[in-house]
Amino acid sequence: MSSTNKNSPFWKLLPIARFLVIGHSMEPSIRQGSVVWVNRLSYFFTKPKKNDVVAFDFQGKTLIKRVESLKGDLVYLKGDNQTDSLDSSVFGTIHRKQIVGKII
Amino acid sequence: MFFIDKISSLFPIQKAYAHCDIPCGIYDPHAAQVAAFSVLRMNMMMEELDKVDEKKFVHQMARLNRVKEEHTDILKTEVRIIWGDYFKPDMIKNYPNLHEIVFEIMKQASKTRHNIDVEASKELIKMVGEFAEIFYKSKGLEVQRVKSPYPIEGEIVINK
Repeated sequence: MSSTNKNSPFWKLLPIARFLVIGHSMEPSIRQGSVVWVNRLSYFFTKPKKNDVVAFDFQGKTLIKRVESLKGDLVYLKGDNQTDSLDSSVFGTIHRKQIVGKII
Repeated sequence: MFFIDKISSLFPIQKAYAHCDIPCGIYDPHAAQVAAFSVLRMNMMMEELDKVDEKKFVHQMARLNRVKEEHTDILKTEVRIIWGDYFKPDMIKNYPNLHEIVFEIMKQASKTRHNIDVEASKELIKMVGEFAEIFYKSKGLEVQRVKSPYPIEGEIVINK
């Protein structure tokens, strides 16, 4: 399936998506090179909760972090590996709409 | 498992980044320079402390030393971030002594902690200024040395 176009609208309609994790900021809970599944419908009817691990869009990339807190539609995110994580402590909160889904 | 793996492989795999490689581009050596001036000021104030009232002396010395420690930490962190995150290998080619300068700044910052050493602090300001100059030049900016606006002598490196 290497020739599959991951950006095709068909794949974006599916409720779940597969992601390869690059980087160390979520270690030890999610190691670099892990494959995780994202449920795009998790927050269709409910809001993200503290400690949920979410994938979100940021500056053209999909990032993965843990929800630290939620204030209205603004979500504060943190990496589990605090010695090597660029998260909301640096770039601030993100809007709830930027969240792609919850890691399952 | 074979069946699950086969089904999984039907889904295209995308990348999710869990690291700090976001090119935010917000780097500035100003904070490191301010921290260096603070270290100097703390050492100067320590030297000037009145030793007549021992209780007061010990209390004030503890406060000054705490602030000095904080600012050496800030300085080291700020320099390390710019050195490690901002500078890329191709930029280093133009500034071959950058690694050595950063190493010396780390050592000099520690030296200012070991004693009440005004001269070591002044030297630290010069070294951080040199680092700031390289940073601004690497961005193609014109560098200017101006008298610091602080109640101590010294120059601060800024971009025009």
